[in-house]
Amino acid sequence: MAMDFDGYVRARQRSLLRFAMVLTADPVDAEELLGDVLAVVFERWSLVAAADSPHAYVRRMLVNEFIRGRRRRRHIVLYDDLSGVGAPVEDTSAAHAERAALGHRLRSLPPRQRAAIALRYFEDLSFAQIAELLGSGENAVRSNISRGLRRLRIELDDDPERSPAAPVVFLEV
Amino acid sequence: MPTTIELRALYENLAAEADTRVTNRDWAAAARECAEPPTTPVIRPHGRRTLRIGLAAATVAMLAAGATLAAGELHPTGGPSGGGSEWPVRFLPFGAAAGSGWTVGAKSTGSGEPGATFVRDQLHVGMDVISSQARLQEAEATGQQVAIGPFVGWYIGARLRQVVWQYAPDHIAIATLTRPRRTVTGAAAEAAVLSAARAFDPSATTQMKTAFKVDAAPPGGVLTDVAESHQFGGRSSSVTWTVSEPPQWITVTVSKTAPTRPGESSGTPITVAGRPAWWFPRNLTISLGSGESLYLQDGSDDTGRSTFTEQQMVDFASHITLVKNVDDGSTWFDATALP
Repeated sequence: MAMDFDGYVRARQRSLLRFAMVLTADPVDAEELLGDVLAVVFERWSLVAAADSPHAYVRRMLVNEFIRGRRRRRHIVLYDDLSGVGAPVEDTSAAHAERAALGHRLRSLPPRQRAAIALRYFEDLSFAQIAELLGSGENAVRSNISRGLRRLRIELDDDPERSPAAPVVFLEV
Repeated sequence: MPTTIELRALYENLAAEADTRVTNRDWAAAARECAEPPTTPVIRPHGRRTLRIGLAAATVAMLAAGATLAAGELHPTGGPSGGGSEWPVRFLPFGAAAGSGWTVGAKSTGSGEPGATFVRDQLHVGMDVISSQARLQEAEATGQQVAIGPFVGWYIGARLRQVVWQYAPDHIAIATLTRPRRTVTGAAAEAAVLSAARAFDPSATTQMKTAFKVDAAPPGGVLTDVAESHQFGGRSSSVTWTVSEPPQWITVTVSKTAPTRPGESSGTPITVAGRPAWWFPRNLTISLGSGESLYLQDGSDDTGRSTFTEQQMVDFASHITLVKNVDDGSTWFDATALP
């Protein structure tokens, strides 16, 4: 029996918000992104439900909507307002500077690079799976991830698919 | 240098934060409230026809839009004309029309495009100026034609809640409802966005302010970005100087102290101008008391190398003069004084 819209949302809302959160790296943006996409899903539910994998379809919509509409906050929100996360602490132990620096750099990445990196390092998808989700080629995905990691200044220490002998092909997307 | 382990940890923190928020909202009910009424075919000028007839078409449009943005708008343009002129850094090249009821809140200038938030009561409308035609063409293809003063604009749907219009050659403005998005929808959202768009005054300028001043730029640095915003529940000020060769930048930020998260490590404790501070490679954090901190971050888009040494960062930080009360914007310095 086909699942109804409410049932789908109840079953998948946690997964979808987590996904939106790692894409946006911002709680408010994540909720807005998910809310916007679920509105479209509701409008098109009969078509979404008929898809081979409705959840995969909705995730793709999240990615595409994120890439399309989230570029504008590049500078205005240098560090997002995380006041709701927890109470500010008196000790400014610069620990947070390290995390803030990484978070800042993450949020400053172009959306397509951010999406590719999140899919790779949070969702653990293969390059081929990411390419399918982003609607681009594998080389483009590798390029986006490589460039993004360089801008994040991430050291590749646990990526089994990348070795020194595996050159990264740089292509403009 | 952080590793992918730290990156994964950051993602896990974000996901955990999502778990705490997911039950705060009835997502299905909210989706029904925000959904658009059934759409009908819309005939566009120039013989262009937009049909919203199903998920496949919508998905294709989203993919196409994403590809357009990736190709054309992901990097600073270098200026509105693309011919050498640059966006101003020390002021916004627009303002909110007097008497409109809208004021300019958070704002940023510099190597990206100018951006600001127009605020009226509880409404927040993001206002960006870009030079790329791609966004305008996208809006024209999918939006509804509206008038923004003497100009033709395109309002894009109840979900994006955005109007795009061109007001000068290579000058395209984008107004987007950013808050509140749950309660202001449909016709109310469109009215809010159009009201803000019509308050956009390109003949005005808005002075950028900073919560600190400094007599000299970092060695070799040129002022490239100034931003005023809110973070961690307080006012925030940020300034970036860029060294062109090799491409490096140093950003100075004053903001409220951030909440800590599990798994964070500590830097090396030092003292700067008598204040407790912590040094990380390419990052200096100085406690200002009253919950505020001063951050200096050194970086590079591509090389990952550091231009500035710890001593240079400390020396630079030692010559920064702060306003007495960061939360009192009336005491901030004009960005015109920045070197």
